[in-house]
Amino acid sequence: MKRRDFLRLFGVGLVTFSFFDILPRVFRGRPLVRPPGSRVEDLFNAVCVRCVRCVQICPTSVIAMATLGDGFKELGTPKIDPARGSCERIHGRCAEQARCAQVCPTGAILDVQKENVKLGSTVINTGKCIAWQGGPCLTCYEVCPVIGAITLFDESRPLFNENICVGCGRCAYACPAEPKALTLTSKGERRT
Amino acid sequence: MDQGQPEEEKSKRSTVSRRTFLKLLIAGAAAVGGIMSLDFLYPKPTNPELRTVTPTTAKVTASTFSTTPSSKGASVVVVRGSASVKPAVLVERALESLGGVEKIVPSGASIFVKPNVGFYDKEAATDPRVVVAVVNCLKRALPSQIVAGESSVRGNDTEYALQVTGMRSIVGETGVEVRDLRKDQAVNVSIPKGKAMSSVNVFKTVRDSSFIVDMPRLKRHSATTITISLKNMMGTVPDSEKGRFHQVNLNQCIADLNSVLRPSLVIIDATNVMTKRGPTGGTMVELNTVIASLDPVAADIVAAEELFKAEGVTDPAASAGRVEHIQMAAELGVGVADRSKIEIVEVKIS
Amino acid sequence: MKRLVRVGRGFLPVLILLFIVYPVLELTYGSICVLTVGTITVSCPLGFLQTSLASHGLILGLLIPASAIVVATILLGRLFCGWICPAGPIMQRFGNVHMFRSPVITRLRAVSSDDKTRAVLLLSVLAASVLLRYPVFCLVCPVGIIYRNAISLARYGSIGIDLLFIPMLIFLEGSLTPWCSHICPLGALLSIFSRKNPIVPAVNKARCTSCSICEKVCKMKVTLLSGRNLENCSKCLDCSLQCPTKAIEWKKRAQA
Repeated sequence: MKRRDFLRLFGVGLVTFSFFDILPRVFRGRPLVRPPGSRVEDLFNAVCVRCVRCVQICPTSVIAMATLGDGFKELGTPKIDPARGSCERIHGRCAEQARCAQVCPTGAILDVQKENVKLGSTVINTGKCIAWQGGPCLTCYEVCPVIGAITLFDESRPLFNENICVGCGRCAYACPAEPKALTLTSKGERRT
Repeated sequence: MDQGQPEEEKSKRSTVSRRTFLKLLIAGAAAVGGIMSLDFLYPKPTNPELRTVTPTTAKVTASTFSTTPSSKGASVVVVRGSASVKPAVLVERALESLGGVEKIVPSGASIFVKPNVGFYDKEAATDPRVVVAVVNCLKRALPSQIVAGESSVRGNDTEYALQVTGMRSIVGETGVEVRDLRKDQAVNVSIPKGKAMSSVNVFKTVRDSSFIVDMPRLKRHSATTITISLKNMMGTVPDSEKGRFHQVNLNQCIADLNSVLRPSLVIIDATNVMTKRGPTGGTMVELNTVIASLDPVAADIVAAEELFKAEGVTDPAASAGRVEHIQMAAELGVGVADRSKIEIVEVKIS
Repeated sequence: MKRLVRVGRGFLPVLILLFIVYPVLELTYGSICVLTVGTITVSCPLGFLQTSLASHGLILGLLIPASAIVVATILLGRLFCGWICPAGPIMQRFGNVHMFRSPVITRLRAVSSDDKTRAVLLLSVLAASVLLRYPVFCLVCPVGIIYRNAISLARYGSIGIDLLFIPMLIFLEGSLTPWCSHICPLGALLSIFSRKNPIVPAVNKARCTSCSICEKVCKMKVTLLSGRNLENCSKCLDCSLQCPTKAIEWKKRAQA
């Protein structure tokens, strides 16, 4: 191999690697909440071909395309955004079968049994919560499809049980406080 | 390849000059940045059902079409049937006892029927058979039109809820249109007596009707203790308003809303009531009862008492009297909450 | 005729984009990366390779869809590049915009203007996918970026900052060498399969005056007169339409 070719190979390789390896380390977002039945994060990023079929099929539009702010490696992959809707795998239009898993061509999202679905869990900021500030609101408790995920303190204030919560995001979506008192995190998620 | 050709020729061949390219690049980046900043400044809810509907500027006071509450007292009919009695029979007797549907409903009225379909759960929704029975009776009054509608709890898809509870198919068979109110236009209505709100956005279908038939299911509620006819009216406002109610003062807002969108006829589905916990996940108790009245406040008081009785509460009347939004509605003149002024007509069908 | 083809070629990628982004009558589903038309699903072969390599396995779900495109390329050459790819018109329009004049750039340009760089780039992308464990090119692929943002804009009214990758790539190609024929890794991959594709432009030596107009107008830098780089041919018909003596014919490749 001529020296010129070798240098060219080295140069291109260096540029490619630095772009695609260093930049992701620099631009790394918070851990994303993924659709139900998603593979573990490393495998998910490897297998997802960014075809956005899951984003298109989701009946509640809760699945969104990750942006550059979510991370370089994650760009274009699906994430759960409770500002847009909630996941109805447990209760609602996807109760029979997860549509996102059905259309995923690479198996980044697998269809798991309802009992094994856990996207994450919800966390409350009591400072922003209407009920914890004394007002009559229990919207999260009303809309929660999993009995026991939210319990009531003093029959008026919501307490969140991160073990029972499946992370569907209904409460976070419905929360009427501005800014919202509930955040969906990936804590406790079950991946395949 | 191109190596042999001199520079100038290549420049001549280039379709775009460097300056133009830079200008386009800057313009493009500015456009992308501009569109994206719009996204930041005006975040759009993307679920189409939950898009905030722009209200029109027309302000209409809509309280004149309903039967005005009597200061003397109110009459509530409670029809109890044994397990074998069909909902249609209960409804017929209830309306008879109130004076007959032809007397209650002015002929040519534009009727809006409000069932409770807030969730995907059948037991949380008004029994569609009760709604059908009511609709069939209403037809006898020769109204100009009957429309049923609902806007479900925030986060639930109303269309799916109507389908999965059977409301759409079963009620649709009567020929009555079952409308997903979220697709409706929202209009602003002023609340002259409002204590928490001076005006409210409601769906046009409801405001434009001349006779509201409120058909809740008798249930417990986590935030308002119970949800009956007064709370059921929350399904006539868009999601943004539902949120506002919670932010401002839920109970007072319910009362304020009912002061302008006062139901003219209330028929409470107490065939199976939700006890202990609500509006979903409670223990269902079969009562096979229908409670009807022309006064929503009185109906709620009586129905609440029935619910607490079914739960085995020691003093059901006192518990019913403590429900905040019912008292607030009474204060605004929506109806009579004083137990002593309410005449209860009990009918038993075996 | 010339104008018809030109206009058709300009509009077809846009029409296909709109057809896919707003699925009319639900005939298609998905984005161009994995597209379902009726019951048939096709997918980008580079996507298949990258995800398989990144996961250190084989993505069976994409095997047949990707093979369908490979077979189509073996038979029709780089037709995708000429008629379907939305990035082509953009990258070509701004090609040859020389951003800098410096000896280093000139040197780099010379070095990058042959096939070897393209091959090295494709291999780098595949190697990066294996080692970094994600499909690296999908991140910057202009086709993917255009389609994802079109879908995002159409359905949710928002676009992403990844659109700025496209001007970055244009900057890259403007300084160095044309995108479609010399850089695009997907193009490089398709070229491998289109080497023996049967429908190619052929020069009728009797009519040819060696004016080289065909080579000048060719977007894919096919050197028609010497018969090299035919695997790049995207069947855009420009050479045959522009030839002043109508010396170019489209025919089946002569048996070797």
